[in-house]
Amino acid sequence: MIVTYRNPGAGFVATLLATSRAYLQRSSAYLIALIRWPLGPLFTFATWRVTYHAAGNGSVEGATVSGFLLVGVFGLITWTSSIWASGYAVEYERGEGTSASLFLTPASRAAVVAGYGLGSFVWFLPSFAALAFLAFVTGARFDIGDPPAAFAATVSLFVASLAAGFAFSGLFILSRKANLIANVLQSPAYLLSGLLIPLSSLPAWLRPLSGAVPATQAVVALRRSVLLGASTRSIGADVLHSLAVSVVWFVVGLIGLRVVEYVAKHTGRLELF
Amino acid sequence: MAGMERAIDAEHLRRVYPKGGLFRRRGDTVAVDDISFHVPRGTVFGLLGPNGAGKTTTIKMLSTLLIPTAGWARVAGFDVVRQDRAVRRHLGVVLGGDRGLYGKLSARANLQYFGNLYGMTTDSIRRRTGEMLELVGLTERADDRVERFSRGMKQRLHLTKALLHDPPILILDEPTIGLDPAAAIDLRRAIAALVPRHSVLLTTHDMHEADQLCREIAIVDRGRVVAQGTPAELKSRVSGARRVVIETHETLNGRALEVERAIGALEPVRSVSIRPEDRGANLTILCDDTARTLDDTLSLLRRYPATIRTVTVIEPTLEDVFLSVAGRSFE
Amino acid sequence: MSQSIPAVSNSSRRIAVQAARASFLAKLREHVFINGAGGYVLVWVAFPVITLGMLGLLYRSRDPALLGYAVIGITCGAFISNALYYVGQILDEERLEGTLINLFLTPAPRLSWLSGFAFGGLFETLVSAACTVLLGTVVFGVRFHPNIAAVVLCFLLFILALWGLGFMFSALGLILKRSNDLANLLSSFVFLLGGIYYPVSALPVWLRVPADVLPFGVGIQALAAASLHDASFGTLAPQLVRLEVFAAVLPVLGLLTFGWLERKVRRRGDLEIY
Repeated sequence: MIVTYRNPGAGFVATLLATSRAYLQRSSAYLIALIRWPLGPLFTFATWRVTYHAAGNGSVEGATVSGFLLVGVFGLITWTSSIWASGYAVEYERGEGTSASLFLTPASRAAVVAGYGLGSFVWFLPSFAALAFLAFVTGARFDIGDPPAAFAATVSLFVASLAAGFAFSGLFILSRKANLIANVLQSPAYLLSGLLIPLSSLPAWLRPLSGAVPATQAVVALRRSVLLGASTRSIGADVLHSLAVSVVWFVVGLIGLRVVEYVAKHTGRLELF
Repeated sequence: MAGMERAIDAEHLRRVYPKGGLFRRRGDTVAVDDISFHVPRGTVFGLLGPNGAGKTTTIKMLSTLLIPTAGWARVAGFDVVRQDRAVRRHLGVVLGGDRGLYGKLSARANLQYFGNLYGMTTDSIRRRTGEMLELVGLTERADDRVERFSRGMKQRLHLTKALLHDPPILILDEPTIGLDPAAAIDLRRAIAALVPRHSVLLTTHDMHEADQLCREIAIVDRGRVVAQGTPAELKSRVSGARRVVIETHETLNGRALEVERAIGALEPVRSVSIRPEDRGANLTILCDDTARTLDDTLSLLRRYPATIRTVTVIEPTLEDVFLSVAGRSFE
Repeated sequence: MSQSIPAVSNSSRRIAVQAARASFLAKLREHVFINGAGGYVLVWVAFPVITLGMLGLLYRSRDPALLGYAVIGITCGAFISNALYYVGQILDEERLEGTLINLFLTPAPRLSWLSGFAFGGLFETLVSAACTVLLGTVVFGVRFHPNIAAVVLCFLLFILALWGLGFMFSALGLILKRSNDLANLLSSFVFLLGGIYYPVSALPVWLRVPADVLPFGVGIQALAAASLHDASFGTLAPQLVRLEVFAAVLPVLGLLTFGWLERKVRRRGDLEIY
């Protein structure tokens, strides 16, 4: 036989990994991208560190300001990278002129979107390391009492971000204004998720909305486990809440991907940039 | 696909694009009105037509990129709407052009990526990538970025991408467009070598290419199939007919329509089309009797007045077929 | 047989004005009429509103005066973003659309269509600025005491300086490609050093030095003093002098940089390659 094929499960994984690899190869072809992505979060951290200093805050929710912001900016990177990678995946393809080539394959669309997400997380690894160092130098105090708790919280944050990317990806296929929508949709999360300002400072009428953003409770869990020594048991409810909301966003995203592909093909908009 | 006589079946395909926004419709654009054809296994079948005839829209419907407004189609026995994934597994498509490949990746990396998307095993991808690059003469440039490739090289890479997973059916949308003559000849040779192992649906507006490559041709105009058959069958529909092309120095002073009607009324004339050009007018006449037609036409033209620059008599071609069924010349 | 050839204007000035006007209208038409103003307005309103919301929640219990500063800072931030994301990024967008080389093929001066694009993006910027001021006034109770003449002068000088930088960023985008990445990187750098969320005096001493030599911080400090505290020309003199220098030098520098980098790209042969 000239060509042999993988089974569907192996094919899904292969598509995911191949997409991640291709995403990293294509992104690293641009010098400015190699410089920008690690540096950007550092500037963001520094900006908000100075903002808190100007506001006279010495500590936030029992943690040092640097520690609070470290987790917040980590969450910010994870959240925005997923939206701009997974969520924006098809738009990238459209811009490169490869969306038709992609949609001509039998590959799982979910695998491609997830591959972009995984690629973006890998892309940010240097940023995470640099950020942790910067936070430590500026006075962050870590207290990881239970490493599995920190791990579980981190995983839930990645899952939440990926879920958001999935949920938005369908919308971006359908719309030719994906860039605008991505910008509009990601920004409320900065306010509602407690990424950069404490949830306790939100007005009461906004707090219910926070719970609907999958990253919120993951960020809470991560702060408590990394900065305040919380155990797995004590952050369990937060992690489960985040995962449950993430599942809803995933399902919406998966259904959305199928529906919008059909609608895009029906209206002839699939390749229009 | 074993035991199946037809690679592609299309019945009454129709594709309409609504114009206007959500609340305001401004009429519809009918890109494909009613197209039916069947591609036998192991052959090259051509969709021939001028720009805007609906060829690419038809291709997109068959390759699952577009959902038909009406009608149905099957590729390798699978319905293009309800079994789209299975269709894509059995299909290789060349849409061509400068886009469709990742410019920042090498040729090899592009093929490896798409090989994974087609579900091929690692070993198959490696082996087929090498074979395909060798086949199209891109081995030495395999690790260069595609953004630096010439048009012809990109087109060859498009073809290898379509063949990588060894699909039984290939759809090639104007594969030689934009290529220089030598590159076009090479590509046509490669296409001809694909049968009978593969079945090929080829769209083109190049009559010569269709005549040379296709066992059977459907001529498409304004969203409909206006004629179908082998090249010989199609040309026999206008057998006995000759094409006479007359070029004049003058543009007929705005009376082209009048002249067209007058020539069309002549007995041996089957059809006529007049096209203004920079240096006069081009009259293309399909007729049964060259001598009589020339005689009558030249007398007629002297009345307008128009002086003749060149007269050419051409054996029947697919353009004549088009002229006879569509009532106008191909361009 | 002769055909009439359309009259072609060979006046450079006329070409420049035509190109600027056409680029401005093209951008305005694209953003407002074709793609719909709603989306763009949402983006350019969402960011400053959310940011001001966050700063408001932080500052209001500590130092309400900082809020007034933040309103001015974020308003100026909209114009900085115009320089980065419109002027700076426009060529990459043209490249993606495949229309970049058409721009370079025209005899119009580069400044003319760059300026046209920049003006075309002003619609969203002005909406963004207005919403920020409105939110600050209505929700957070910020009160303005403007010296109108000083505000106008500072603003004009600030804009000129920003657009000069915008031309420079645009040129860098030609070379580096992916102008959006450049714009995002510079944006985060500017937001740190530019005194957008806080006065430059809040920065550590070693960061105040670079902040003082950039037009962003200088411009925002001047505009904040002129619009919130009715500062006189005399009080603003140190910032005004620097702003005048920036306004005079940066556009020239921007154009020179653009010309130099354009030649470099054309020598490399990848003007249209993304």
